[in-house]
Amino acid sequence: MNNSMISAMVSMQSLQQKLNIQSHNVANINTTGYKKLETSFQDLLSTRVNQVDEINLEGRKSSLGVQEGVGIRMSNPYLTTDQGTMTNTAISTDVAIDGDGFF
Amino acid sequence: MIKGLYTATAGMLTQQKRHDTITNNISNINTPGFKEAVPIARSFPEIYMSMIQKGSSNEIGSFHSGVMIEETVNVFSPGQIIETNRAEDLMISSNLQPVDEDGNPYTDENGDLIEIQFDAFGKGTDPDGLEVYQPEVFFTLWNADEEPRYIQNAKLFINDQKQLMTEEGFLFLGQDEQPITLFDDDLSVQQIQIQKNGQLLYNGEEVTDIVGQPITLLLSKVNNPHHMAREGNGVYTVTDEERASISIIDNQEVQPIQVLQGFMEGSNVDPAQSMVDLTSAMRIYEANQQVIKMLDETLSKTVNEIGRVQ
Repeated sequence: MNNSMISAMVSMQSLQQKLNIQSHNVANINTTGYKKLETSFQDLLSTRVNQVDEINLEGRKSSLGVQEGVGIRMSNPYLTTDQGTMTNTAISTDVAIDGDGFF
Repeated sequence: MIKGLYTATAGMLTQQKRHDTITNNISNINTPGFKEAVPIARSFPEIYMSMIQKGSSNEIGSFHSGVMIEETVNVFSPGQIIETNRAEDLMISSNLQPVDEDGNPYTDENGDLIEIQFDAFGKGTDPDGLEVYQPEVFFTLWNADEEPRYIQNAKLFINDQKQLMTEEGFLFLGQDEQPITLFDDDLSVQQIQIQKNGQLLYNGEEVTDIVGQPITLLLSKVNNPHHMAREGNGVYTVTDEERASISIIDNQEVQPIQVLQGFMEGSNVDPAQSMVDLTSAMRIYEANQQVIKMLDETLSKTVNEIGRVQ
């Protein structure tokens, strides 16, 4: 029972982090030059519970031992570098770069 | 009665383990390349009972004294292929037919190639009626102890020593079964184009390693992927080398294997089925709980009420 609760709790923490990043992105919808952050998940280190040799019965597909996962973690968020849309402001002090490059 | 208590307890433990496995599957609905783990239940081995009465014995029959989770099997069905257009994202897409011990594909009496059909666990039968599994293809990596590890979905990074690695630091191996070290100092992952056979190109020219050889990522074919275990971070380790039967893929072979750059494979977990399985695990758990309660009440009568003198 505890395994399920721990696994779900750990996953919820990672999902909360993702929600934080998504809301950060949404908050910056109108920020000039903002590049959105994206995340992806990875599964956590699984344990293998050992089984005694008596359990190695015929018809078994996998090797002896039962795998137990404990949920997910968020891997490092990365900046997407897609170009945003250019808007003509007609203000001569506004400068933007089209393509790869930084001032 | 007491036997019944233990049987019901075994039932509850089984559902608990099933619940744990399904919870982990649901947690990993968004993990790229995650393969669903299916818990397989099995009855305890049969016990024969006979009743011994005044010297004679009558055979009653056999029964299973419980149930347990025998194993958790990974389902290697492909997840949805998602285009991310990011140069770091790498995945392998394959649909191989198994080969016999000599390495030849299976043929029927006329010599035509047979296409073996596989079930959800990748199991099929060869023309002799024996069990065969669908082989899976993996990138070959080294962990920190220089042991081989296998992965199907990876993010490519270049470290300070110009080696190709995954996000967690597992090193990609090249055709010489050694970690790949780039020759060029300035190459970034975005500039590298990885071809369908795993070869690295930059602007159409071969990317070379420090000894001047062209680089191709090492692909391994695992003939029975059920003898591998997931270690976490998308990486698999071999649990039974002989039965997993791993071979290096020769670039010259024409096989339905593709290394896709800029693509990611989604998890193959079906959320609806997982929720149903979770509910079913809970209800069976409750049923076993009721059995224990009933047996307990019967026992209570035996202990407290029979032979009571008032």
